[in-house]
Amino acid sequence: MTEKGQDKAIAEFLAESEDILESIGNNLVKLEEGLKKSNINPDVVNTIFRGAHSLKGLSGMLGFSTVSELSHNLENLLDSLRLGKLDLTSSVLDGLFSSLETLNNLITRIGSEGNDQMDISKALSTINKILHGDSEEAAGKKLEMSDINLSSSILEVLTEYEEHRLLENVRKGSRLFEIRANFDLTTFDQDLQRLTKDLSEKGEIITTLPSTGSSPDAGIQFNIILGTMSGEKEIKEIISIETTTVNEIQYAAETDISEINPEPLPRMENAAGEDSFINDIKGLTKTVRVDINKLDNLMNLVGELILNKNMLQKIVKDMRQHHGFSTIAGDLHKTTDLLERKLAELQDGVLEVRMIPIGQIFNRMARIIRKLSKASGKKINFKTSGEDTELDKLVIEDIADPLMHIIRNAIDHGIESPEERKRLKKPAEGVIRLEAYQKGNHVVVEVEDDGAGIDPEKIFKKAVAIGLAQKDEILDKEQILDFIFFPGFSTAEKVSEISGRGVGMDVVKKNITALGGMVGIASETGKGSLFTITLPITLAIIPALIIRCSEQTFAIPLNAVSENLIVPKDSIQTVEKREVIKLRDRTLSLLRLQKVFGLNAVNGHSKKALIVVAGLAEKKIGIIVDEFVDKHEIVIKPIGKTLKKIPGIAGATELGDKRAVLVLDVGSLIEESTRGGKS
Amino acid sequence: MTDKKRKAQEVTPTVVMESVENTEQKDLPEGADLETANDKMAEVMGFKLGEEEYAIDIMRIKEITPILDLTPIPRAPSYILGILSLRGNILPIFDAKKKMGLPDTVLTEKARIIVLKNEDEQVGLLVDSITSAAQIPEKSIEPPPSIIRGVEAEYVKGIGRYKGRMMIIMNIDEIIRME
Repeated sequence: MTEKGQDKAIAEFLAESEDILESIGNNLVKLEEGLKKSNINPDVVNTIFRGAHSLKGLSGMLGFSTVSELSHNLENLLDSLRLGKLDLTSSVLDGLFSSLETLNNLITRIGSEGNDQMDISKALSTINKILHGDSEEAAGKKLEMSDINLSSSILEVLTEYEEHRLLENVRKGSRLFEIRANFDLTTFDQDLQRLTKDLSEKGEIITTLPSTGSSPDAGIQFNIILGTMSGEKEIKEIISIETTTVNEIQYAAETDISEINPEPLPRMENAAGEDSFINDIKGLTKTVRVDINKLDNLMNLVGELILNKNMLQKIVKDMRQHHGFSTIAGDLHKTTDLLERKLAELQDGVLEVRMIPIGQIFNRMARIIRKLSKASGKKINFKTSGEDTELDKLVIEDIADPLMHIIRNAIDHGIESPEERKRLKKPAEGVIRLEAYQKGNHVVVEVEDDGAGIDPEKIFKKAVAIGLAQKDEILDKEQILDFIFFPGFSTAEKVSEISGRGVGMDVVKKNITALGGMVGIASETGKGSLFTITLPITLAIIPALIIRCSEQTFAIPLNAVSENLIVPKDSIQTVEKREVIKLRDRTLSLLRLQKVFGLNAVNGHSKKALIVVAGLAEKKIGIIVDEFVDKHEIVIKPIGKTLKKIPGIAGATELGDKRAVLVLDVGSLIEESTRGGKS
Repeated sequence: MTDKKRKAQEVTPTVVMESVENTEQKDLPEGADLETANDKMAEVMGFKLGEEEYAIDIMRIKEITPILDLTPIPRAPSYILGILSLRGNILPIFDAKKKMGLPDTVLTEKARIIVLKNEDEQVGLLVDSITSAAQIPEKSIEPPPSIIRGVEAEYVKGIGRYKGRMMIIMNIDEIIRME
């Protein structure tokens, strides 16, 4: 029992630490952006500090001493940063990023091995070097508190942190105001809150101190010290309380006073500070952490309910056919309709729970880019948009690897070195753009770089060399570029540390296809490349087109169907042993399921051919079928682990008649037919 | 081989519960008293594939169903008959005879699908008929002879005897494994 309890505690710890590390990572990225614009938000530093502090507490509780030790050191480092004992520089940021990575590795290890036994001496010494190497240098630049004209009663009670913020404001050239406000004892809490809110809009509140200045019967007085760029008049305007006085605090204008720091003040905020962290953790968000498997179970239940609903609808249909339009059939019909609507709402609700913004992944990519940019010496400007686009949690998880791979490739083979870029009259900083947006039932993710692009000639040569293409074959650029997604295809002349790990773009394609998505590439030599990934929003319940072919029923996910055609049979032509039709000036290759799946051909007498035009993005194919049956909401189920590797079949589903129906995998059928045409 | 006895057995009804009751009540002491109480018994479910009687560990069985509509799967190995939708679960159905290289038989209404638990999924096994549940003392199970009527040894765990019948105890994991 206790062991089980422990397991659960560890699982919770892992989930929570992952969240904390994710948040630290995101905030580090923000911090870096801030550093670039030399506008560092103290709240971001504080949030990271709190993250490290929470992690220390959590890991200490469960006895993961290595995690605890590292987060403790990290906390110290962040404390120095937030107190201004240490300036944020890019080398400090490097140290923070590398500590985060070590922490990530430690947590991963706890997840897989159950312990955190790892050598962290390198990470610790990095932190140590930052903490002790820079401090003397930093001290030289310090302003002194005595340069500021504050009454000693206030000076004495300022915490170390408040003192630092005060000096920081002075350094920025803000004006300082001391605001004395008198409040009635009965309403002072609301009044103070309102005043604080108003003042925060104008600047930074450095401290709020209750004052002993006025008599107790009159009320209570607060001294607020505000750092702001606004003038005295503006501040006075927003203060509605008459008894409030505003005085500007003067300080010496010269900031290059280099004296030794005064004795550090005792840290009075410590006890209170720790308490407020605990409150923060408790009240941060009103969310519930749910195991994705539980959501899956819920989704399965909804799926089965939908099956039941489909059965009911079938019964209604049968009733009408056999018994005519009786009242009872009508009632049943109405009730079924109502059920259908409510089920749709339930389904939407469950689906919504699974949706998370893709921004999470973007932040992960930002960290990878940062690291790779350091490793390769290439300067990269990472631009993102559409972080709010939502996708199924599972799709998000599975898209991270392919995205990372594409980005690695872009940095390694796409973006040129700064010198090379200079020579080509390109800006020294390469651009990688990551964008997500919703398009109908899909989410499109684009990765674009402004690097060297892909040379089609090189690709073609390689394709011929490994037997993917004939020497004299004439292919358009699109077809040639598509070769990079074939197994065993990698044109990198030398294996590099960044992307040469034996995994190629074929894996990227495989992973995306497995999600029911597609990936395409466009590239222009010298200008850059654009990868377009099209993904279904969810994998859980999807609408599908039901068709029949050779007396068998199949389902085709509707998100892969662009239109249905009925054409005269004699409009089907044969070009290079392949059947095609002309569709709006384009040639559409046709596919017969009988041929692909080896089914018995059924010779219809009809002079018409029914064609389902299927495909994602630019690649389309026409599937010749015998009958269009219906549209149905389906839940795709795997056809068993033992059978999962059957190309052309994505899974199976049930339509309400208790018969299993195969779901076609359009992506792999298209791939197969294009490959079949080339060999 | 006790061919005659086995022939006689074939005439008995194939519904599981009946056959268990009918036979076991008559000669109750058998099996129970011959061995000591501590002796472990293998609990198996017997079924027919062609002429022979086979058996598998009863704990692996989730349920037994009549043959419902199967959906054939293109490109699957020939010993996969298709898939079955059982209360929303999709399970692949294995043809044990094809897998073991036994001759095909014509299916009758006695044919059943044994639904097996396989890790966290389910698979089905098509058999010609169900015979009975049986308890066989583990000690009495003999190692498989090198060849049993053309069945390869890897599919057989051992030979058990139950009420004078010979049951070939199947290595079910080998049957439902894909090459």
